[in-house]
Amino acid sequence: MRNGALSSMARIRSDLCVIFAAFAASCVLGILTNSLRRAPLPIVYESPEGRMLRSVSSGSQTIFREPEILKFQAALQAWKDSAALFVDARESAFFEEGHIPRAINLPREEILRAKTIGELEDKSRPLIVYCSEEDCEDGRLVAKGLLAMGHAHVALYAGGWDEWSATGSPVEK
Amino acid sequence: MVGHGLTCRKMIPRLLISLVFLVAGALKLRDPLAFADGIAAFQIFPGWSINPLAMGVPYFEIFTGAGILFGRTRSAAALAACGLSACFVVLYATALARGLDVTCACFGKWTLLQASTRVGFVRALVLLGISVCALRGRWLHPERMSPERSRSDLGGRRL
Repeated sequence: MRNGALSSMARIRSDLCVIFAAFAASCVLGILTNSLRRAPLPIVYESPEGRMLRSVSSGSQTIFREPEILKFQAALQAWKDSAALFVDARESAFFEEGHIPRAINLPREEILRAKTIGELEDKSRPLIVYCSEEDCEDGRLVAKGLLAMGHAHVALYAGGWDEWSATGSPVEK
Repeated sequence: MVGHGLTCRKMIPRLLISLVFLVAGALKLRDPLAFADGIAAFQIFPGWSINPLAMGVPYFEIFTGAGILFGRTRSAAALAACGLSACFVVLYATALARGLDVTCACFGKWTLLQASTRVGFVRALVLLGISVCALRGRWLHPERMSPERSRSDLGGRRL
């Protein structure tokens, strides 16, 4: 019985030592390989919003504005009248599964690609950004980023893809 | 391995947990930024700890997954798997309690395996259950093991 308890204690101690050593080795290896990456992570974390706004800002003079929020009826009317270009802020995999017809895909991580997209050359053209649903942060971030990049009229369709597709509005796949 | 008396009942949880941690670690290594965002979404960790965790945890998961496959490190790796799974359960439970919508990048950006908070919590519970199965017999009941195997697990040291 006593031997069993000693064996258990030794095993626990031995296992904890192995775990500690593996964790220390993981941290060292992680920091080393991170420094070899093309785009290494900084030591202190920066939020997606911070990263995106930093990438689109053209210096300390950049002013970040909040986009106007559109309800479903206003977004549908704008789509029917072709009054604005719809910008889908979801990841490309979701965009390919289905999106608002004539929309372009611009995920948050690819916001800088906006400078090379032909449809976005005219900065006075009204844009309506949408994401998957109301709680999706990426839609607001992309809209803010586009405003910071000089687009004059950027609105956010808050209901997003979930509301659009649930109401039976036209979709494109 | 079958010759050493390991039954399928013992092998399956080990292989499963090993596969899960190896795949999860490898996918996180491909996109540490997404994993860092996933950690931050739980709103528990201080900013200075998020990126170091995102750099180190994927390797720790790979070590854990690989360690379960080898006799000498199996019990430590199974214990580490239990610890990691328990951490995931606690993280998801606190996220659920606070009403957070966390889309965890537990498997990198592999959208097939991205899950809502509730699904992530259930997945973490299942992972914890399998990890405990992998640990059982190796660590909880060492007296049931033969002295030879017990010595080999402790690196050949005599007790």
